[in-house]
Amino acid sequence: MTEEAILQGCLKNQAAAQKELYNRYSPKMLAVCYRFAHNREDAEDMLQEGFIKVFSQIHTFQNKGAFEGWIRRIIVHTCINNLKKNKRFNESVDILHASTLQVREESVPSIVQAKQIVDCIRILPIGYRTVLNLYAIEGYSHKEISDMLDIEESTSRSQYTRAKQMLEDILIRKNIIQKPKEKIEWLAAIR
Amino acid sequence: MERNFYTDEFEELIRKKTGQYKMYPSDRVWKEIYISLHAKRRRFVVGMTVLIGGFLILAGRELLLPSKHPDAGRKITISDLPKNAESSDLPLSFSFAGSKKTVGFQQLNHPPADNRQDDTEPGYQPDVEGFATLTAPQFNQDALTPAGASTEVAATTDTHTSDPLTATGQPPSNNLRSDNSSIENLASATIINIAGQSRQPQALSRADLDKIQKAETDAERENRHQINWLQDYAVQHLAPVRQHRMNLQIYFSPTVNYRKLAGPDYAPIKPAIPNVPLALIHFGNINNYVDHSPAPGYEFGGSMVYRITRNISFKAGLQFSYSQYYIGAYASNRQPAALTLSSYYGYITDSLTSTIGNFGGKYRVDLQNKYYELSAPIGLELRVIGNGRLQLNIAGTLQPTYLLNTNSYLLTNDYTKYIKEPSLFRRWNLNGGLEAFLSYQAGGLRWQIGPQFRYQLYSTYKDQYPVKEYLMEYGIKIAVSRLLK
Repeated sequence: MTEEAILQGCLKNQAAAQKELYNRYSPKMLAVCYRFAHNREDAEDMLQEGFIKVFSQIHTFQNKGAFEGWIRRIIVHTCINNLKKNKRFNESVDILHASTLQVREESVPSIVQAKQIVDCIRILPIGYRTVLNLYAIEGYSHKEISDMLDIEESTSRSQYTRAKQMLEDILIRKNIIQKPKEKIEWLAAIR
Repeated sequence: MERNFYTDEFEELIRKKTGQYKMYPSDRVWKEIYISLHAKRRRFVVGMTVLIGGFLILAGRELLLPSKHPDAGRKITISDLPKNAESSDLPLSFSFAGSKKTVGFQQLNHPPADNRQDDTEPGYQPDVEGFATLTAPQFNQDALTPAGASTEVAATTDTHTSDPLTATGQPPSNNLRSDNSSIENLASATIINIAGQSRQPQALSRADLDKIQKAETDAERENRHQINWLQDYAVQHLAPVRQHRMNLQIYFSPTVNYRKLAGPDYAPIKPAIPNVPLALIHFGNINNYVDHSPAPGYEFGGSMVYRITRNISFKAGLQFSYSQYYIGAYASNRQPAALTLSSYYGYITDSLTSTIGNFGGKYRVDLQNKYYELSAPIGLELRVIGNGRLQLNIAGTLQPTYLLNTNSYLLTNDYTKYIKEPSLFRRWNLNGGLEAFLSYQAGGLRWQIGPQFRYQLYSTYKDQYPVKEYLMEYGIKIAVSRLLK
């Protein structure tokens, strides 16, 4: 079934077309939700709510961009609203908290797996994680993030910087990525 | 959002890897999405199924099973008779079969009839509710109704006598048991004293018995006078029942609306000069060139239903209809839209502009053509089957209709654009309606439900416009009517 046919079917509220659309995009969208959510169940709830919005608002899609991008935007906004509603986003985020994180030192395959990256992102405190998701992965600007999360733009920037630093540390400690060369040299010189 | 965030190698890595990651949701998620999206439709389907199923079950019970009316087949016994039957207009009859009473014949030694007694006088045994039944001694109802057969005796009176409500008694004789004819006579001549007024049963003495037996033929003749007297009497004095034939009905119908288009029959045109392109003309069925789909609507109204005969009724009323359907189209830049009208002077082309295309454009838009109509359905109802309580009917109506709005989209006659041109809409139209319904009498109201179909007989547009549109409605009509008295 072509994307156009799916779209037409969904406009007519046809269950078969809706199922096809769901099957096509739900795996990616659940991964998006999973990066924002506390656990898998929450992620599935967000996905469900997001897809209901997609189907009920599909007549507003105007073929101006990619259909997947339009769906993704709805899903992301649903996740943000869900976080706000559950007040998890308001958890205090402190850079000091990052230093206390216990990252297990275990052998990992040299091939970087997508799942490992996602798992490491999910280790981050929720404030860091949300800003990192929105900025680095979803491509929102700090201005947009500040509007979405009702925070200052500068807060978004600082949170992102810290989140990025923390994630990098985690990935290095888990041997998922390697330290940049100059950083290694600099560390060696200190030692 | 547009920003160059790929400049950072780390960010690019994160984005790439997270983009590769997929998770498969559990089945629960889709189920709940489906329920959320289609719950209304499912509730509607379930509700209608229950409603129609209930009606069908009721119909089956009423039509296939025998009547279970509490009075059906019931024999009125003596105790059921009213106290003042003399003044009653109702025809009376009673049966021995249903009575368990066996009354001794205690009046055998009573004085002659001229010595009338009070109810309290010894020897007179008033029966239940003021009725005195005199039967022969040792005779009970079983003896009078051999093989369980019911013997009905009309409560009669002789209009020629001064005491019309006192029937003559049949005297018992010693050989009554062996005399079948006497038994029958006795049964038919059982004395009934209606309403126990100051009148008494005729007292019979043994001496009278012989006379009465000899005068059997006289008694029979007298009985013949008495038979059905009450019915005749009642008929004469019953006030004629006024026939109420007019019903007021109100109804509501959820409908699904659609349309059928008919276009100009373009014959394939061969160019006079080869290889010269013709203007784009679409041949064939116009319905193949449009993307339209049904949409829900409704109608409601009221009507007066006049019962002409037992099975045929005439009805007329007023109805409001809201119908709509969807059109798939495309938004485009403003472009010329040609409307060609046939007129007395030939075809006239009117140039308009439109931003809605039929075949393509910048993006898709869904148009909704809505029609608000007032109509006056006039027609006949025919009862096909059923009794007074549950019936299956069919009906047909013609509906002169007035279109209230003219702001719907119409397709240009080259099928390429949609425009709004109110002047091309026909205000007055005619619709035909067909319906079948089950009706059920409950209390003072008659409820009915059934499918209906409505078709517009003339095009929505004026005759000058070569594209024709005929609206159709499929619906479920729910109505309630009440007899006007």
